This record gives sequence, structure tokens and C-alpha cells, in this order.
Amino acid sequence: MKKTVHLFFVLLLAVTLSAVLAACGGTAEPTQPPAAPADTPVPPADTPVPPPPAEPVTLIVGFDIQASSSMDPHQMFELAGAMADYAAYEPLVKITAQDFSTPVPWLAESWDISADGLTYTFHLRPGVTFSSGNPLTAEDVRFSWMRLKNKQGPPSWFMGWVADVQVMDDLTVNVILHDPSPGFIMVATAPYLGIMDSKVVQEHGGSADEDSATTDTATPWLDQNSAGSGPFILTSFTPKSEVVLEANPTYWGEKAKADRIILKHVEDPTTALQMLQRGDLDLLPRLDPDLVEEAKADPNLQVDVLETLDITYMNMTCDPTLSVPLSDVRVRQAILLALDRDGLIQSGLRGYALKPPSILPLGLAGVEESMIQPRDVERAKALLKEAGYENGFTEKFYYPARPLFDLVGAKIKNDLAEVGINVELQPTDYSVLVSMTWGEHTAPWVIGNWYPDYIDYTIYTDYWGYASHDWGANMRCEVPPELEAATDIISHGLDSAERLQAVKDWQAIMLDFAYGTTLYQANELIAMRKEVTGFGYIPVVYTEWGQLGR
Amino acid sequence: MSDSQADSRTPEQTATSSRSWPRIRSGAADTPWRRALGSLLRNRMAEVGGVIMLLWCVIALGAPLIAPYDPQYQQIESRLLPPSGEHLFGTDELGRDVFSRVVYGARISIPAGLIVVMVEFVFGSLIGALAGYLGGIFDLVVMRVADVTMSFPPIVLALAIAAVLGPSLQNAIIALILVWWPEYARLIRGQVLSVKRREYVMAAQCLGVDSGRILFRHVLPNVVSASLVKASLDMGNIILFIAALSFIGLGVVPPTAEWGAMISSGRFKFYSWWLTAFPGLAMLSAVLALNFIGDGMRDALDPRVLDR
Amino acid sequence: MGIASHIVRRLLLIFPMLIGVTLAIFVVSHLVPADPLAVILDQKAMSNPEQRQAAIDKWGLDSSLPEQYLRYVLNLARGDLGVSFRSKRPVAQDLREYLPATIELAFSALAFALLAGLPLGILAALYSGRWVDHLARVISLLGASMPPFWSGLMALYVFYFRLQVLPGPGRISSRMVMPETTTGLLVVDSLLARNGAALSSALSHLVLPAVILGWFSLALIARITRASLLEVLGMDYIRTAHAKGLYARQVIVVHALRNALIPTVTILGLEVSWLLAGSIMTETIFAWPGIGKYAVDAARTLDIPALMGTALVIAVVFMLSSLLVDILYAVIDPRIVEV
Repeated sequence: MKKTVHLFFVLLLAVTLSAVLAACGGTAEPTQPPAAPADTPVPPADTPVPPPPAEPVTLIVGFDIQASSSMDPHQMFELAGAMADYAAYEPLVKITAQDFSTPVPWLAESWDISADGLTYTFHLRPGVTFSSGNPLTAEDVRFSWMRLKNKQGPPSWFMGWVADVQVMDDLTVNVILHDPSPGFIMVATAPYLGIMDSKVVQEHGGSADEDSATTDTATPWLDQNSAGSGPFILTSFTPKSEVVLEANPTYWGEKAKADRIILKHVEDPTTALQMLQRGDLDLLPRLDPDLVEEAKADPNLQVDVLETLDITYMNMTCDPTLSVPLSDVRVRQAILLALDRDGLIQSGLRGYALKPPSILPLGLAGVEESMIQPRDVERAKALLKEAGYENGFTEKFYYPARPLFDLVGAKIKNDLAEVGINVELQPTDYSVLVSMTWGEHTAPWVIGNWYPDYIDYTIYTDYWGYASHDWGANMRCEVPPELEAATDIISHGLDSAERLQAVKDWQAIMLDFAYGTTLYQANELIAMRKEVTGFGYIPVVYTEWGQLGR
Repeated sequence: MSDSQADSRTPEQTATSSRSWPRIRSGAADTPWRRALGSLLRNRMAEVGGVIMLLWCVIALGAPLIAPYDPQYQQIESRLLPPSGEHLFGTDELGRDVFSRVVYGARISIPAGLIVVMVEFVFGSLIGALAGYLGGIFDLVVMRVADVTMSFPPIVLALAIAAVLGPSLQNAIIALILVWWPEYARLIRGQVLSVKRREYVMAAQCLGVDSGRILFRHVLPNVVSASLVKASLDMGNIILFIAALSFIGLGVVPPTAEWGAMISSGRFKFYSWWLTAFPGLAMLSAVLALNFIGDGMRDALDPRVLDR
Repeated sequence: MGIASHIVRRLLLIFPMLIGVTLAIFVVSHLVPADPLAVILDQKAMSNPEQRQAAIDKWGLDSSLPEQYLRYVLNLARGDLGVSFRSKRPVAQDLREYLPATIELAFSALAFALLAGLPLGILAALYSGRWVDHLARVISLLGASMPPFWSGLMALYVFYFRLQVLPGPGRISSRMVMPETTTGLLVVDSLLARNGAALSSALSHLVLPAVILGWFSLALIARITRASLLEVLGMDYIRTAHAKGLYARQVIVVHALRNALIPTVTILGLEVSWLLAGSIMTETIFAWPGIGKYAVDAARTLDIPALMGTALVIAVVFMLSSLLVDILYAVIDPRIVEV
């Protein structure tokens, strides 16, 4: 029953990527032929369409969609929206459930990377059509990415790497980067970089021009419809209720196995499991660890335990105006040492989590369990004494108001009480916390979940390594220059060995500077009806929706 | 004009316009024989209520002696254990003893209810008495503010105020006080107006006794009894409101053991029914007891009942 | 003073009350310890100077507080309740979408309260002092003492979770294809669409929340029916009827009940608005997508426009229904006008 997806391939991520880069070296060499591995859903153009099933297949996925306020891929930045949009919009390059360390061609048939690592040339797959019937062109790629950039919505930072997108001919597009960025090809797999039908979006007021932030009026339409080339079409979105996706009848590739997929809002995990058990749901991602035994006991259900790259982090400020004690590095180190992460994982998460050494999750090359810092209450006390907090202190601790985080918060409060720190728990609504941490930077001490938006170190290292990024976890921290230096190499270094070493250094510096750490790396637990087929876990986008069937 | 709102209401209307959880009222139109029978029953109920409340007060005061565990003590390895000899009411999601937390919960809900009712009682009565006695502009302004406050359902206004002030027990209490005072002010003002017209007050005025003295020596004692009845009935409601705010997440902050917050924490854990059931039963017993007492006190103190 | 002038006076009172209510909401929303601009705009719009200026102009934030209040009221008069931070849509539009669910629930609760409360009250009066009377009393007391968020959870636990006889939270089964939206009331819509499956699903989803929400009204209706029936039964003309040899049952039906029901029916108007307020907790428990849950979600997320918009709508409904009841009373019982 327990199926564990090993992240072994990911271990070699840096190496393969750099190897690809080195091999490319200016020559136009497609990284992968269109004929992909057997399981990869690449559509052979001449396969006869299978007869339609007698009864329409509707798959209902129970998911918390509270954070979703828009389905416009350039106007939202959260998981449920990304999952839904991935069914409707397709990226140039994909990763697959079988091997998510290697990018495979999708809307781009092949790509070349210039020797300086600055120019990516994508050769688009001919014969791809949008759900409107319009053919995919290079202009659509330019429009989509420039709209993402100029709309200045929450995910516009994805275009931070990109200096320009140039249409070379109908099916060729050049992407010019600001700096060499070995992780960029993985960035291109992100659902926010999916390609839109520029004509349809423009018909509904869409604009990719520089003033798109104020002139673009397509978002209300894109909230209720989609203009992509994917196996599904978004047909309705009701906030806090549901997202409905219907199979795209004119999909250019292998048709979706289900006729309709509904993301149904569920808040209460127990009720959600009940619904699954009674057949009101077909898939229930993010199963509560406390409910795994119940779900496993049900003969109608299957439960998969999957390793993810999702982390639950804890950040502390370095700014004395936000917190005098936390601004002292010794205090932060003491807090890291005083936490009983094993206890948290074993009893709080029923063991369904990993414990990485620092921010970076296990499964990425260079992240090793040997670097894990064991719990040491005595040393923590000594550090606090050294910092002048022998008698402890009181500090506010913010976390998203969710049952699991109540538990995490309480455990942290308990652990730190042992060294005299009085933690004031502040359960805060997610959106309020988001604006506190990412907008106003007023939270001294927070925890949260961090899901990668593409699979590369940089999704973690840029966020924690560059204090200057206003979207980063800067927590008002002037990070040590050696951390920035290591972050630079991870972001821009084209030499794979150097990059790997930087990854190791980066973690050591983070442990020392101690302003952010990963508390645990939770497993993804999904419960499904027995009859559901075709599920394969993919980090970032969750699954290939077109493959799901019954 | 200022009188019309308050006085044009029939007893039934007052019953409905008191807050969203209907209060217990003995019908104003009860027949004498029914009242005799009822009062017997009620007095027995009031006695039962008194005993239960006394018990809760003892539990609240002696919590450290009664509770087998510290309410915050977590045994994270024994999370969500069903009720057993060791943990009478089981353990919660953090491995804390639910029984101990229910016991300590009495230390939050009962004093909080008392504080709100007492502040209301003093503050609302004072304002109402002054308005009734002084009349004029003061009366007009106070009563209009009261009208506006009462045109919101209390849970809506309390929700808004608590949300704006931020989650904490103090703020929940403040929100409830701000929402609830007009009821007392109105009640007392009406009583004052009727007492004011009575002979002995007029006599005192004629004798040149100053207004303040008249208010405190003659008028207040006569009207306090009415609001005492109300206060005893209200305390149960206040306890429910504070629990409701905590349940929503606008009351006490974790890990405080409070009944509403405890129910909230068990909300998503149906397989562990004891998380929700026991704090709810504790609250139900306390509020029911308060309603028994209030009902009985009405018979003993309500001048309208006595007048008949 | 005649009834007409009483009614006119009460109607005129609406205006100062409306001003008071909007003023109260204005004051409460300014209690937020944050820049009012940050309260109106979301994070992204805050960093956009044009949008900032537009909001400053629209809400008159550079003017004095009284002027701001005036603008707020003028915006309200145009039906503009502001834009929800959370849904990024006009609050008025959100409320229109969520209101039908609440109305459906409130009326179902009222129907339950009447269907159960009236017979209970009548029986309690007829058998005053006997076990039915005591039962009615216990039911009322429980209704007043039980926190709805707890009784709702317990009801779900027993009937959905353990016994599995009733559906869980929500308005309709997740697998049900929603009938076309005409009224927004699922029961009515599925009737119009002649969709029997949707109708039965919607009805069965209504049972638990309607009973929990209606319980308080039930207690009140039973109590008032009982009290007024007892009063009427003690009156002379009933005794006369008895003396004339009419059967007790007939007396009750023909004479007593008709008179006793007047106060009960009259308070129904007020009851609906109380149910609207009571829906806040019930909807939260039953994941009922109405304005009550909308208000709670808004309160938790500090979505001030959404919260204040909901509060305003509920307060206005509340005020209007108590006005209606007041006028009804004046018509039924002109004596009160004399006061």
C-alpha cells in the first residue's frame, strides 16, 4: 500500500543540469527528442482517438482552496490555483512523475542554450492548438511571459531572470536572461509560465504591454475561463467553493481520461475523509497524518505516502526594532538547538516527515543528513546566558491559524520553555500573515509552509540567501556576505562542482546565522478511492490531471 | 420621542429583542395556578442550579487541587488518547489532559462572565439611571447610542469589534461590554422613569433634597432588583458569547484552556469525540445552572411578578 | 394620536437610525490600528501610486473625518460597500451571492421552529403542569443554554459521523450537478429544474443546520404560544363558550387559538432577523456558504469591508423587521399608540 517515490534522481539534479549546459555549449542541440520515455504523455500525432466512455467520468478532488482569489495565472500565487491552472495551461518544458529531475520537452520541442548561459532558444512544437482552435505561436509565448512580467501580479517575480523575450519566427522564440542561471530551464516548468492564447486573452482586455498592470482587464474573464492549450478547460471558479475543469474536446494531444475534474473546497480534514469514504470525493490530497490509520483501514481507499520537497520553515528577525532578543545571533542559535524536531515529527506528524539539516530539503544533491545539528539544550542555555538572557525573555510567535500549526506552535512553546523562553503564540489568518511577512515585514518570528514553484536550489536559496529581495524571507536581516556569495554561485555558477560545494557551504552558514531553518519536510499523504487510476505525484503541480481516470 | 422606542414594546417583544440566544422568561401572562405550580418547580430548579454553580465555583477555585495534571502539560507521545482511568476525559491533540483543561476552563469562563455582567451592571445601570433621572439632552444622546447599538445583532457587533481589536480574552470582554450595556441602561432608565413619578420621590424633591442623593438613596435601590434578575440570566449568555468568540479564534489565544477554544480544537477531529464533548458538557451544565438560578431569581425579585 | 401618525413617526425614525448605524460601522472600522488606505487597498494596490491616489480620491482620505463619513454614506447610497480584500470583488456582489443560502437556511429553520414550536406550545398550555409542559420547558432551557457551535458539532458527530443517516456539512452533495441558478435557493432551483435528486440532496443537507438554528426560535415560539393560550383560555368568553356546551377541542381551535396566535405570528418578522444573526455560528459549523460564514471568515482575516458590509446589511434587515413588527402591533393593538 505504501508507495514511496524516491527522490534519488533529484540527487543528481545539479550535476545533470550543469552537464546539459556544458554539452549545449552554443551548438544547437535538442536536449531531448520529442519521442519521450514510454510513460511520458507525449501525444503521438496519428494515434486514433479512443471511443468516448459511456458515462462521463467526474473526479472530485477535496482541497482547501481558501487562499484562491483568482484563476488568472498571472494574478495568483498559491497551490490550488497552480494545480488548477496546470490542467488548463501548459508550459514549454515539463517534469514528469517518473523523473522530476529532468526537464522534458512539451510545448517546446527542443531548446538550445548559448555558451554564456544567457540565451535560451525554444523551438515550439508544431501542430499545437489552444482550446479556442488558434495555433500556438511564438507570439503567444512572448505575450504570456511579458504579461506575467508587466501585470506585476503576485507571480511576476518569475520573470526576474528574463531580460527579453524575442519572437524569431512563428515557432522559434529567444529568451534572454539577465545573468547566467542554470536553474532557469526548471523555472520554465512552473505553472505560472504556462502559455496563454494571446488572441483570446487580448479579446477579453488582456495586455502584455509595459502598462499592463493598469490597462489589463482580462483577469475577471480568466477567473472563470481559461485560454490555454491543456487537456482541461476552466469552466467555473467559485471562491471558497469549487473550481470546475472540463476536458478539452479539441486537445492537441492524448485526451484527458476524465471528463470533468472538480477541485472542491474542504476545510475540515475529518469530514473530507468521510466524504472520500462515502464516495463524495475521489481524491483527497494533504491527508491529515492523524487520519492515515483510519484511511488505511478502509478497503475502498488507497493511501500513498510520498516524499516531497515541501518544507515547513521558521524564520526569525535580525532587526532589534522588531525584537531585541532575536536580533542576537546567539539567541537564534540557541532556539535552533533547543527545538526537539524529532519529537515534533514522531508524535505530531506521526512520523510522516523528514528532518533536513537546514532550509534545503533532503532529496536535493548536497543536502545530507550528516549535517543535521542534534538537539542540545545545555548548549542552548549556555548561548542564552552568553547573550544575557539567562532568565529568558518573551517574544511573539506568528503562525497561520491551522490545526497542525497549533500543534507545531505548542510544541515549540514547550521546547523553548525548557530554556526559559516564553513564546507568545499568535495564530494569525494566512492572508494577514502573508501581508505581515511579505508586505510589511513586521513579524519578528514566523513559521510557514514553503512549496517549491520549480525544482531547483534557487527556489530556496534565493529566498533565504538574498536579503535584498523584497519578496524574500529577509526578515529585515543583513545576511553575512559569505551567504550571499554562496547564493550567487548557486544561482549563476555554471560549474557543477563549484555549485555543489556552494550548496554545502550555504547550509553551514545558514545553520550558523540561524535566521531561518526547516522544522520538518512533510510527506505528502494522499488518500484515493481504489478505482482511481493514473495518479503520479509531481512536486510543484501535484499531478498530471489528464492521466487521472477511473 | 425618546420614549417611544423603549415603551411601545410589549413584553413579548422585549423577549425577542433581548439577545440572539433567547433568554428564559416566565411568561408575563401566566395564570396564578400555573405560576404556583411553576414556582415550586422553578425553585427546585433554582436550587439545583445553585448547587451546580457552587460546584463550578469550587472547581474553579480549587482547580490546582482537583486537576490531576497541569492543563498545559503536554505528553506529545500520548496524543488523542480516548478516556481512560489515567485520563478521565482522554487527551487532546497535544497530549494534554482534557479533564484538567476542562477544570481549568472554569477559571476563564466563569470569571469572564462575572466581569462582563458586573461591569455592564454597574456601567449600564449608572448611565441608564442618569439618563432617566436627568432627562434632556443627556437622555436623548445616551438612548440614541443605545438604539444604534441595539440595532445590531450582538454577535455581529461583537464579532466586528473583537476582530478589529485583535484576538485576546481582554478584547473579547471589551467587545461584549460595548455590545451589551444598552440593555441595562434601557431597563434601568425605564424603571427610573416609573419610580420618578412616584410620590415619595416627588416628596423628596419638594423638600429640596439634591438630585444625586435622590438618585442614590431612593431611586437606585428600587430599580436594582430588576437588573439583578437580568444579570443572572445574562451571565450564561455572556459565557456562551465568549466561548463563541474563542471558537471563531477571536477570543483566548492558545494554549489557554478555555471551553470554547477547546471545542474549536476538537472541531476537525471527529474521531476523537472527547475533545469536543466534555468541554461542551461543562459549558452546558454551567449555563443551564445559571438559567435555572436566573429563572428562580426572577420569581423572587421581579417586581412585576410581585405586583400581581 | 392615530395609528397613521404613529406609523409615520416610526418610519421617520428610520433615518436617524440609519445614520447612527452607518456612523457606528464607520467608527468601528476606523478602530483598526492600521492605515485606512491599507484597509481599503490590498498589498499590491498599495504599492501602486495611481491606485493609491484613486482610492484617496474615491474615499476622500485626504479630507476630514466628517467629510470621509459623508463620502462613505454616498458610496453606500450607490450600493458600493467597498471591495473585499479576500475575494477581490465588490462586497455587494459577494453578499448577493451568499445571501440566498442564508435565506434558505433561515426560512427552513423558521419552518421547523413553527412546525415543532406551535404544537409544543399548544400541548404545554393544554396540559399545563403535566409532563408535556415539563418537556417543553426542558427543550426551551436546553435551547437557551446550548452553544450552537457545540450542538451543531455534536449533531454532526451523531447523525453524520456515527449513524450516517444525514449528510455532512455543505448545501448539496459534492457529486450532485447543481441545478441552474435562478433564485439561488437550491430547493427552489432544483424544483424549477425538476431535478429530484438535487432536491432531496438539498433538503437532507438542510435538516441538521435548520434544526440547530431553529431550536432557539422553537423555544421562544413554544413559550409565547403557551403563555398567550393560557391567558386566552382564562378569559370570560372562553368560559362562556364552555358554558354553552361547546366541546373543548372546538373551543380551542375556533376561539382560543386564533387569538393566541396573534402575538406568535407577529414576532415572526423579528424572528427572521434573529435567525439571520444566529446563522453566523450555525453556518460556520455546517460550512454553509451564506453571509454568516462570510462574516466569520472576514472577521478572521480582518477583511474589514466584507465584515462591515455584512454587519450593515444584517443591521438594516434587523431594523426594518423590528419596524415592521412595531407597525403590525400598532395595527393589531391600537392601545400601544396611546403610550
